[in-house]
Amino acid sequence: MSSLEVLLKDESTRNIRRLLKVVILITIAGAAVSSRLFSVILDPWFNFRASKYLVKNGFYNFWDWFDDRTWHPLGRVTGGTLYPGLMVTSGAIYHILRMLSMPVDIRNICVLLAPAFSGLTALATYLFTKEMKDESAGLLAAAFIGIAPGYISRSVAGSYDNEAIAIFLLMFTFYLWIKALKDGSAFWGALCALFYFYMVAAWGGYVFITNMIPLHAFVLVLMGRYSPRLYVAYTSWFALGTLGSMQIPFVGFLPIRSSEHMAALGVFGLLQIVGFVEFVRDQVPSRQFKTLLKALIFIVFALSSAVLVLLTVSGVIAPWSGRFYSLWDTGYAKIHIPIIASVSEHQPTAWPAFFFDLEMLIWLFPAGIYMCFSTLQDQHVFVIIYGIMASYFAGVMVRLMLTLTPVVCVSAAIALSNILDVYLSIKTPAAPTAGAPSVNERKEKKPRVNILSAGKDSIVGVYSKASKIAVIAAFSIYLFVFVLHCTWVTSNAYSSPSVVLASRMPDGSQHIIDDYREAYYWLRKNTPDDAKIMSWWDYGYQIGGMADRTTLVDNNTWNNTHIATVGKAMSAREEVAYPILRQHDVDYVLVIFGGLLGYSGDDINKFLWMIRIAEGVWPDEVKERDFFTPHGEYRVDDGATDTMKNSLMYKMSYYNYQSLFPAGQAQDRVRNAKLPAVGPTLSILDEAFTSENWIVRIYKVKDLDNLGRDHLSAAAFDAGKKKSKRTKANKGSQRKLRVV
Amino acid sequence: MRSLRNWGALLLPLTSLFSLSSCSSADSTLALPKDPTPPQVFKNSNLLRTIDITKPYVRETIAMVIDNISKEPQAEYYVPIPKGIVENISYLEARGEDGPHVVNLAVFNPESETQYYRVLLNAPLLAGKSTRLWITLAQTDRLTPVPALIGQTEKQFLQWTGFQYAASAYVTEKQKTKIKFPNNEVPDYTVLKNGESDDPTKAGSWYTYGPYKTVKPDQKGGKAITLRFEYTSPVIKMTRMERHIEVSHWGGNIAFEERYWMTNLGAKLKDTFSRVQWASTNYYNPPTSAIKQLTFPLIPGAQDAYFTDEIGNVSTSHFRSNIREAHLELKPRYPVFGGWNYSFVVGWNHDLKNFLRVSQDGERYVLKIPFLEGPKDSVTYDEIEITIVLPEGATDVKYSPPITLVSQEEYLHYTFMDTLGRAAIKMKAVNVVDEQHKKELIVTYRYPTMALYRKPFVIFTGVLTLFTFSWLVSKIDLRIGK
Repeated sequence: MSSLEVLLKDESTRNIRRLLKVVILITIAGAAVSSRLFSVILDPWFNFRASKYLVKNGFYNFWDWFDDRTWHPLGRVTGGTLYPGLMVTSGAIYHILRMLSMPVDIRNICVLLAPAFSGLTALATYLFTKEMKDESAGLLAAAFIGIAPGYISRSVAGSYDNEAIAIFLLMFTFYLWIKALKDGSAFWGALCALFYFYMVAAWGGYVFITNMIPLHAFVLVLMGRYSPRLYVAYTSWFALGTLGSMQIPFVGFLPIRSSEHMAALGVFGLLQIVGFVEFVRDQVPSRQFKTLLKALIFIVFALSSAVLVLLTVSGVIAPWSGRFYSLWDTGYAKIHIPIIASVSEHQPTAWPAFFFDLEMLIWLFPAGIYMCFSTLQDQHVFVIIYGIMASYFAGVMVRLMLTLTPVVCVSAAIALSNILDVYLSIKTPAAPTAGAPSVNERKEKKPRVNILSAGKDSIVGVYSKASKIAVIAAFSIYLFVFVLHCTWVTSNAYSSPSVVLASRMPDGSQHIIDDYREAYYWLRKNTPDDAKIMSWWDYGYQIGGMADRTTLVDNNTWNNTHIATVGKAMSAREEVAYPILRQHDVDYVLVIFGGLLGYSGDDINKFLWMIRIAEGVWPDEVKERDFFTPHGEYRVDDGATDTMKNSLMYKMSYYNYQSLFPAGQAQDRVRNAKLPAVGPTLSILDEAFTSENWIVRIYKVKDLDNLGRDHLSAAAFDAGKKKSKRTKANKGSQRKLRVV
Repeated sequence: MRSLRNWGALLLPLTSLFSLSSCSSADSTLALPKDPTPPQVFKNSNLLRTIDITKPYVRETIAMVIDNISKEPQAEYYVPIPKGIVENISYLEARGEDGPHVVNLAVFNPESETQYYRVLLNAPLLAGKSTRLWITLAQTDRLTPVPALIGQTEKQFLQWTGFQYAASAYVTEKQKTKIKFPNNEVPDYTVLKNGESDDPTKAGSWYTYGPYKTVKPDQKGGKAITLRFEYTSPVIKMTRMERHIEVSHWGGNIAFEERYWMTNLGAKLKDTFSRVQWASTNYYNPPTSAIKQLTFPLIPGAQDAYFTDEIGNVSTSHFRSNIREAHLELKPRYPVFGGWNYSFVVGWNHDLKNFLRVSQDGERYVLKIPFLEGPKDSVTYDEIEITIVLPEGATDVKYSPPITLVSQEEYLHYTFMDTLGRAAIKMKAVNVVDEQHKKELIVTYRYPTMALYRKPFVIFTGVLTLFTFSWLVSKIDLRIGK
């Protein structure tokens, strides 16, 4: 097998190896891209809309963009409140392709941006892992990140979100940081700062880098591994990176004013002191002097921390933001910021999710971390810290599984590459110790820590070909199953965009339920261009993009009060809701109703969050308790509370629904409830459109009554009823409510 | 024909006879006297007018025998059209015993209530002789829904208002008007007295007014008649249609893409749309005034058909393609009721060899494609824009539009990796009816073999430049110290 050796090691085959490497990387990138193309639907639409705006109106107009088609009547200073990296990237690609006379539609660029960048992520991961171990580990890591479902979940074709490019930037920035640290190079440090700037422009998750790099530097200092390389790398990154990040309007002065960024500043200061101390120590080699200085360092550190706390308390430095608190206390958001807790991807991760998203990588991950401990050079410390931090965050929020995935891929690749190094070499070591007991790779690895124990020749292992083949075969099967798992997860779980639901017909053929787009397109084509649509904020971006109509609230949840207003209108009685609708110029109200189809992500199920958010602002008018039965049940059937039955949301959801069923048989298939025989009545709204499977229901807000009556009595009059006592009583209550 | 009036005294050629290059409309300005009535040189000895209102537009055929009652041979026969209707005329064609005649809009006086079309007989009619003449015209937007608002499951009725007599600039000795309804359901129609007998006479879905004795031109149309009849289909109008055809010699492919902006001009909904009612009535598939489905009969051999709209692929379409037929069945995302709009894009590919021939002398390529391919359902178009993109390097392009255009231009279309740009034709027409679907468009052009190899060469050069450049860059030493 010397020919293999020659191929792998010999200088004469360097070019072949390089070619092989390039081919493998290209293949990995190809696999990464193609595994993301199962189905293509653009989401979220806001980013697409912003990109279109950028391409159409140019960069400076985009920068100054005030969007009056969202958050009516407030509007949104979009240019200053978003991370422009994504749109600028696709805009740049658009113009470059155009320059090469390839007039590609901006829509196609947006759709394919995430898969294309996942190919780049594979490359960045390769480079990063190469710095940790060697090229073969790098290639493994690249292959892992290429198909790991944890990353695919956020980068399928059409998933046009900040994360699409951010993971590439994250890995590449880290790679550049490691490179700068290893070489002590200001050049690499500056490059790192440049990509950090790009990352800041692209994703709010940049804070992760802002804290990871200082943490790494801090740990290195604590380990006594301070070196001029660290000093050069860190200071060049910090100075340039911070200046760069402040160029993004949405970030602005945050890097010097908010707590999240203080760690970086603190470590910067610390490094100056340590550097100074090291300098002095070189000049004055005295043991006592050293201890003294060490004490000094800690005093200064403590002092500066105290100053920091003081500044925070006095308000010069903004305290930690609520989102940040929720990372430490998972219950925090639920109590204080229901709007964050109401998003399912902000929930703590369930255990199976780790296996679902990472499969075999999750058990190779600790092994890889262990390998890092056993070598423990500066860069390995980074992987260890990254691994620990990311696993914690991934446990707190489902969404942050995304930041965990790269480090899992890296350390799993390190572990697997070590195993393969041992077991793929056919050659028997020179000093044999006969009869190793069993095929247990854990035991095998200990002697493999060749870097630390390179001098010792105490290799204990299994050299028989049979055991090697057994291990390799086992791992081949694991890898094979991993690929199958990834493909299965990707095609089944992560390629079904939220807008389109797929189901199976009795004959097994696929049936597409496309109600959202049906309704959005109806709005787009058949309502006035300036119509205002009120819906829960989850659908804001979609309505803005697909229906091209003005919304009251959307997924950029910057104004809690406005969202609470919508929540109040949805949860209030008709006569309370009507003034709110009029005041906000609402023309149409849109609700999602899954009762017919059994679609559980509908508005009645989200209703409690609307109530909670509204209650946060108007605790006197909206009370969560009123929506529960005395037994504490959340019911929609006959046993529902009056508040529930009279709420606008309930009425809009079930209006006319019972006429689909034989009398008294109306069934809600989500909540498995039999609905009251008499359906709700609506007097302030008209049903305008209901989609094929009733998922989207759109109501038109009635104009003011011609005779100045309120709608309830007008409806009663039209129905030919006398003014009964009931309506009088209602009128009374309504007047009272208006006063309130 | 909205813009027609703006053309002032220009004469629009309205037949398919025009030679390729002389198609521009400014070539023949008729210097006509201000006298609003044409000379009384003809007499219609017999006339049969057929009005077909089975489609969303009105198609009128006037078959007549004309006599030259003057002393000299006459070649100019005038057809009067009320001024308000000129805009609605989609086309007006005339045919004689010896084939089609040239027809122009002749403007005597733009302010006059009656405008005239001039039919130029192929051979002047000798004095005292008679000949037969067929005039066909289509009018759009002449049918209005009455009542304008109906319930979701109610029947839809359209109303047509016209005149008892066929409009003619000459004395008509004998005439009658036959009206073809889409079905027997005609709740309201004007009843006249014609001598002793009732007017009209009915025979199934055919109603006949007349026959009438001598009618003079100053009687205009006589009494107005109003017909209200059931119309069981939606009144489909494409407010705009863009048809884009791209020819590729490399791929041996011709790609069609059509964008439609559709609206339903039928009766609007009295109340709001009720999904319950729609779902329950849909079981037995009753006739409805909503657009539920459109079927595009494509030329057999069509492939890769797609149906999208502004927000992506629409999953509710079927494409049935075999050797004999290719049907693209589309369901809009929602039923399009009266007053509602929908817009969509359809596209498909064909093998180029079914459409392209080399001319007899071997120098030119001849491309023969259908001018329009709309849905099978009857439709009218407000504006159409047809673009044909030929391969890069095609020169000397000639073509003959089969219908009257409002504008046409040749330009260079730049797309993937083009250096010179592709020769392209853009044609615009207004007020088109679906009868024009049958017409064919012939484009001829030269395409040297060398042009075929331009693109590979460009790409090769580009990649080579890139490699050279990157090689040069890799040679630059950026290190500060060694």
